[in-house]
Amino acid sequence: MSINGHATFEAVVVFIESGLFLYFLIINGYYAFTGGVALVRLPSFVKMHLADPVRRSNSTLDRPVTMLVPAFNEREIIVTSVRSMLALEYVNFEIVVINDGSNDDTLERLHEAFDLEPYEGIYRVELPTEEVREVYQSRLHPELRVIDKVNGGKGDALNAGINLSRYPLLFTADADSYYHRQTLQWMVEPFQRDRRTVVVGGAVAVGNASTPVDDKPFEPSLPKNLMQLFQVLEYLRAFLATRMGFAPFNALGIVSGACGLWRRDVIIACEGFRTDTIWEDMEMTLRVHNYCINTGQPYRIAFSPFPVCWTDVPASPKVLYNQRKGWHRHLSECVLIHRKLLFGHGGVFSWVTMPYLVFFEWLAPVVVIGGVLFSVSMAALGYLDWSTQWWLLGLVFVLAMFGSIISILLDEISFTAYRLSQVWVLFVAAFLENFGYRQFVMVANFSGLMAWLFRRPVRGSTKYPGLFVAPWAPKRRD
Amino acid sequence: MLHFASASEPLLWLIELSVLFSSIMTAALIVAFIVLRTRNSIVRKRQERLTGRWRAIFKTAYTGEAVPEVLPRVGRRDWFTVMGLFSQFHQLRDKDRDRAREVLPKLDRLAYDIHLDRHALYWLSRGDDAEKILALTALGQLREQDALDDAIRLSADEGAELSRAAAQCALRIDVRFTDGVLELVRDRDDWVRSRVETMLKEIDRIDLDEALRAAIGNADEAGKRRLLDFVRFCSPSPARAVCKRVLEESEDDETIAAALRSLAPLASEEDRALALKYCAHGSPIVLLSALRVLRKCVRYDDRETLLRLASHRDYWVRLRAAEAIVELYGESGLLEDFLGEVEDRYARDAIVQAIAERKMMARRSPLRDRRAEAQGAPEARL
Repeated sequence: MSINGHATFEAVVVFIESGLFLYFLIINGYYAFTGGVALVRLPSFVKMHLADPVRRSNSTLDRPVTMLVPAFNEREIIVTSVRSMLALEYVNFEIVVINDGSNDDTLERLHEAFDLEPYEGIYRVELPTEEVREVYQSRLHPELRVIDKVNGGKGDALNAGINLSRYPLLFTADADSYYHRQTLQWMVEPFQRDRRTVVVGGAVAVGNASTPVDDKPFEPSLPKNLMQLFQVLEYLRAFLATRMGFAPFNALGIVSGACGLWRRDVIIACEGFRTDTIWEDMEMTLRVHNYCINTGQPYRIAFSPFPVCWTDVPASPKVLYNQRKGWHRHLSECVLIHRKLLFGHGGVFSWVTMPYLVFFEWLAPVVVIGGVLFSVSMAALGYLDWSTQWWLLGLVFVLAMFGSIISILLDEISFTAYRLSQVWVLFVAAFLENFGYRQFVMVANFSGLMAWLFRRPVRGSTKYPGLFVAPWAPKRRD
Repeated sequence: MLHFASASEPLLWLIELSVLFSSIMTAALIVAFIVLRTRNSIVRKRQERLTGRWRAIFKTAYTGEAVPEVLPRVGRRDWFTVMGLFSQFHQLRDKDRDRAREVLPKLDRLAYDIHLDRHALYWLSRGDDAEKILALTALGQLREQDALDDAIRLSADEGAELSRAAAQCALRIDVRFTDGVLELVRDRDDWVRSRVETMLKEIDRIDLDEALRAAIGNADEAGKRRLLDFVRFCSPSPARAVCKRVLEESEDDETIAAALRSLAPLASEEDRALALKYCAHGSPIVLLSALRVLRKCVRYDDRETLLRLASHRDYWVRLRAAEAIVELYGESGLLEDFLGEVEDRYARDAIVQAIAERKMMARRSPLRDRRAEAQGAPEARL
C-alpha cells in the first residue's frame, strides 16, 4: 500500500474507532442521566411514602381491578400463584386466569384447588381470540374465574381475559410471579392522582431464591446460581435506574407484562394485545403511546418503583439464550411497527426514548459485534492500535461497572431489598458479568435480530411480522 | 495548545480521559455506597431501638401501664420516626370514638411532654415536603391551634399530598374550615378520592350536609361532578336534595350521570318517576346511572322500559337493564318464563349474564374489606 493509501486507511480506522467511542459515550450518557434522575427522585419518593401513615387505598371510591393471569403449562406454580393473588389487599378486584391451551394438568390443578364450576354468564367477544372452550368460576372464591381456551399465545390469552373482565382497570400478571400484598393499592394511586394516567408499570425483581408459602408475604433473597445473580443486577438496572429515570418525562418505553395496570378502554381502543408478535408488553406500551399521541389524547404512563412483583428468571444458559433472543426479536418487531414514532411529534418519547430503543437497544448487537469483528480484522491486517483498543475495552468495562453500581446504590437509598452480605455478592457479580455474561446476552440479542430479519419460525409458526410490516396507526373514528 | 503526533492520538487522549473520569465516578459511587450502607446500618439499628422504646411508651396510653418518669430525649434525627409512630398510634383509635376519649388525651400528653408539637411547628416552616406532611398529620391529631394558619397556607400548595394533609390538619383543628376543604376538593383534581373520603368522614354529618350543599351550588360542572362523589357521606335526606337540585339545574350529561349515581344508593319509590325520565335519555352514561336508580325502586310496570334498554346498542346499558330485570323478578321463579319470551338475542344474553353475576355476587360478602383480616384488630397491630 502507498503512503497515501496507508494514511487514508488509518484515518478510516480512527474514524470507526471514534464512532464506537462516541456510541459508548452516548449510551452511557443515557444510563447516567436516567440513573441520576432516579437518584434524585427515589429518596424523596420513599420519604414521602414513609411520611404518610394513611392507608394507601381503602375506599369503595377506588376503581375496581381485573387481574389477568395467562397460564401456559404452569402446573407447578399456578395454585400457589393464584392463592397469593387472592390474598392481595384491595377493596374490589377479580382474577381471571386464562389457561392458554396448556399440555399439562394446569387446568386440573385449578379445578382441584379452587373447586371450579362452569360459569353461567355470557362470554362476550369484544376482541377476537382463539376458540374459548369453557369458562369456569370458583365455588370457593367467587372473584376467581378461569378461561380454558385453545393456545394462541400470551397476547391472545390476555385478549380473552379482557373479554371476560368487568372492571375498568386491568392488571396483567404472570402466573410464575409473586406479588406484594399491597401491589394493587400502590399501583392504583397514579390513576387517582392524575386523570390522564392510562398505564402504570410496576417494578419487577428476581424472586428465584425464595419459595412463597401460599398467601404469606414474600421474603426475597439472592439466588445462588451465578446466571440468575447477573439477572438480579439487570433487573435492578432496568427498573430502578432506567425506568425510574424515563418515567417523569412520560417516556417509558416498556411496561412489564408481569406487572402492569392498564385502562381497559384504552386497550380496547388500541384493538387489544397484538397476537402476531412474539411477546406483547412492549408492543402494547408503544401502541398506547402511539394511540394517545396520534389522537391528541392527553396521557401519562406512570411507574411505581416499589418492588411489588417477584419473578422467576432462567437458570440455564439455553433458556436464558432463548428468552433474550425472543426479547430482541420482539424489540425488532416493535420498533418497526411503531417506526413513525421515531423523531415524530411525541415530544420526549419520540426524541429520547425511541432513539434510545432504536439506536442503543435494537442496533446495539450490530454495533458491538461489528466493533469486535472490526477490531479482529484490523488486528489481523496489522492496523490495530492496541493501546487505543485496551483503553476502549477499559472504558466499556468501567462504564458497565458504573451502571451496575448506580443500581445497587439506588436499591440501598430506596427500599434496601437486599442484606449487606447479599449486596457484596452483587458487587462481585457486577464485576464478573463483564467476563462472558454480557457477551453471551449480546450474542443472544444478535441471534434474535437475525431470527426476526429472516422471519425464522417460532414453534412452527411463521406469522410474525418482519421487515416490511405496516406501521400501526389508530383507526379513525367518525 | 495540544499537539498530536498522529490522527489516533486525540482519540486515545479522549478515551483515556473518559476512562479516568468514569473510573473516578465509579470509585466515588463505591465510596458513596460504603458510606451510605454504613450509615444506614447504624441508623437502622438505632431506629430499631428507638422504635421499640417509643412503641412501648406510646402503648402505655392503650394498656394503662405506667409511663417512665423521665421520658427519653428525642434527638434531631429521631423526630421523623417518633412523629410517625405517634401518628400511627393516634390513627389506631381515630375510628373508635368511645375508646378515643380515653386513649387520645394520654397520647397527646405524651406528645406535649416531649415537645413534639414544637418540633412539628418548626417543620412546617423549615422541613421538606415529607416532614411537613408528617408534622401536619401530628399537629392535626393534636388539634394544635398554633398550626392553623400554616395549615391553611399549605393547603394551597401545589403538591397534592402536602395540600391534602394540610387541609386535613386545618379541618381537624377548626371545623369551620369545612367550607374551605370542600372548595379545595372541588378544585383539586389530583387529590386521591379515598383520602378525601377519610377526611370527610371526620366531619360531623350535619356540618358536612350544609357545607357540601353550598359547595355544589357554587361549583362549575367539573367541580359538581367531583363533589357529587362525596354526597354519600352526608345524611340521606340532604344528600337526596342535593342530587335532585343538580339534576334540575344541570344539562351536562356527565354531571347528570354523576348526580344519578350519587342518588342511586339513597333511591326510594318516590325517585322512580325521575329515574324513568332519565331512562329515556339519549346518552349511555346517563342511562347507566338512571338504571342504577331505577333498580332500587323498580316495579312490574317498568318491564317495557327495561326490556327496551336491555336491547340498547351499548353493552353496559344492556347489562344494567338486565340487572334491574333480575332484581324485579328476584327469586320468584318467573324469570325463566320471562327469559323465554324475550325475542331480542342481545337482551337475552344480557339477562343470562345478569343472572350469572347475581349468583356470583351472592356468594361474596358485601364490600369485603380484604385488609381488615390481615391487619387484625387495632390492638393486634400495637
